Amino acid sequence: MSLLEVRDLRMHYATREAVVRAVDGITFGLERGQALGIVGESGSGKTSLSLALMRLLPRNATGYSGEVTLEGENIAALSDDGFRQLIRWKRMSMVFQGAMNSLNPVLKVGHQVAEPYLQANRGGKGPAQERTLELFDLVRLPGEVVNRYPHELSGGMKQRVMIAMSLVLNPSLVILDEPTSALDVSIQAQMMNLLKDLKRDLGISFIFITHDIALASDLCDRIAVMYGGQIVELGSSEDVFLSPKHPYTQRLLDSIPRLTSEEAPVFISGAPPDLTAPPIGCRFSPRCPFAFEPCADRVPPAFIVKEGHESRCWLLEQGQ
Amino acid sequence: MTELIRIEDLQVHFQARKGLLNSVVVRALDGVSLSLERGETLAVVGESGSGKTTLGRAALRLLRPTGGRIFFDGEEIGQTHESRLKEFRRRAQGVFQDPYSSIDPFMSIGQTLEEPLAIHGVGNAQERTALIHKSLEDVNLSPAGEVAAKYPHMLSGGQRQRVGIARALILKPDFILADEPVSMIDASSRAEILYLMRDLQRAYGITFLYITHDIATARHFSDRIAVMYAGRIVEMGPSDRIIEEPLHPYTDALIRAIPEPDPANRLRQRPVIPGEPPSPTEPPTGCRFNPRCPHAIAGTCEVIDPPLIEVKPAHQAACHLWPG
Repeated sequence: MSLLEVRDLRMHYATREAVVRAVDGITFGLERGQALGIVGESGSGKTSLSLALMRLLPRNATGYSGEVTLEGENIAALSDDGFRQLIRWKRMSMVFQGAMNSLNPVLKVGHQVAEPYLQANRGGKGPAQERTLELFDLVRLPGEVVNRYPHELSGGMKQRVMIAMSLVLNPSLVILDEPTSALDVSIQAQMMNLLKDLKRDLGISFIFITHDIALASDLCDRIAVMYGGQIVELGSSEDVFLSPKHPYTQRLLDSIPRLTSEEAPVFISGAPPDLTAPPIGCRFSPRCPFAFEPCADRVPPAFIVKEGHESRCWLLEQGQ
Repeated sequence: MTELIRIEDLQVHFQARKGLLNSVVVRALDGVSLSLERGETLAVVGESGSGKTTLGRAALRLLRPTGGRIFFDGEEIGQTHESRLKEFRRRAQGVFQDPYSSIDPFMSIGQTLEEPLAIHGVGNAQERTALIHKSLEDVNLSPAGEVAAKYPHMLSGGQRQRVGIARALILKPDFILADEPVSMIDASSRAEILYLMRDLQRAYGITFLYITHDIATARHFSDRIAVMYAGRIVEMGPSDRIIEEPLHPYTDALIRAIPEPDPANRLRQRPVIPGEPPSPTEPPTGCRFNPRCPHAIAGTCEVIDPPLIEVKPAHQAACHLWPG
């Protein structure tokens, strides 16, 4: 059984003028112990997707629908209260983008990490303290840091605290939303090594949300590429990095300036789609150099390239 | 080629409050020397707190250096009074990181571009309109007449940054400081802006100082790279040499820390340098990188501050491993 199965998940935003189709029919699965990278540029819907998975629906969210099956149970059908009591933080937790700045400035960081543990009645203060020290050791923070305040810590240390906090109740899935994008590259590399260790040693599953497709290759077994509120390509890291099938994925990879090669980076001209009125057919078609007859008018289904590798592109129809 | 900018032993120190009565000195820049040839792009690469942004701000005289000298086309401008900088202010322009906050939201694009012309008294109304349209076309924003009538909120991030570039170009400057010009632009559009700047540089012979944390774009879009660490330049040389044969252990570590897209990455640990950059109020003695350096020589590196010297042709490093 898969750890997580997401089927046709949708979440839109109601603004005064129109409906923004931020998450528009997302389907994917995740096996236990794996890391899935969700890669997309700004406005692709990747952060909205994480909020929809964690059921942290913004007030103007509308049209939330679809199935989210965690360890065999459809958690999308739970009430908000039920979700909070049974799922969030306990079986599924999240490290938010820039979360290190959301630590309470007047509480010692150890207290903040222990908080979910005490809330969940897993034991009294003693066990909570023990658990906190165990987690600090796990994320390679010296034990004495529990008694420090957030302003006494560097950005990298605060992010380690946030990771410790996400693990306090032993969830089976942790969603990481741009966990390193506020950090310098040398600290980012330390953080990625830590995440690799946690994945290997604890068998934790991760959903790793990032705008940086190269960084996703540092942790993820599978990659989902998002564009315009939808997944346009999904496959193993080998599939997506070595033989990408969607023109958007191909161009995104070619747009990265390589350190080790003279090859000049390309760019995708034009702008991402307006999600209040996305193109009728393929959402990438107005920018796609290969667009042909069906692309503008017909929505491409997810064509299977091979077992475990799919792509929403009409170019693949021939092969079906 | 001839030299446009020469910076000698530049120091920028800030006073920072510490507690109620005490203050400490933050050494944002501590002895930086470099020169820029006309028409070249020098990238300044470093992590936060390395001093790269302060260096750019000093080069544009947006702040007055604590010590050292800055020569622009032979004239000292580092300590010159603001009233005598007007000509420099026309010839040196900046493009900044955030295209959302660096353009006035209440001014149309045309008004934004007209402002520098008005300040420097360039042309009459008709000539100004022609210059505005020309610079919008230069940055591929067309039709220029339509774009000039728009307001910033009607443009995408990439289009706004092109307006920022058009504003920098309109006075036909000799020098442009570009401080993280693409870090808020989506990855797939970054190269478009960088190619545009390169094309304009070639067309008009502009000298660029490109400040970035992204050493990969520096490789592709600059002639030379200067690597900064803790307020100093630790290595400087031709871009491909810096990447392919880095001399300073910090440069080497910085390059290794960056993942290239490769599915095998997840199967191996990335070599990392331990610890974090030093506090700018209490930098380590000797080489500032020595506490984190895997090659530190005990008895030397923590004692003697290595000078930046030429190790290979046009390639300098400040490291005891390369005594010259």
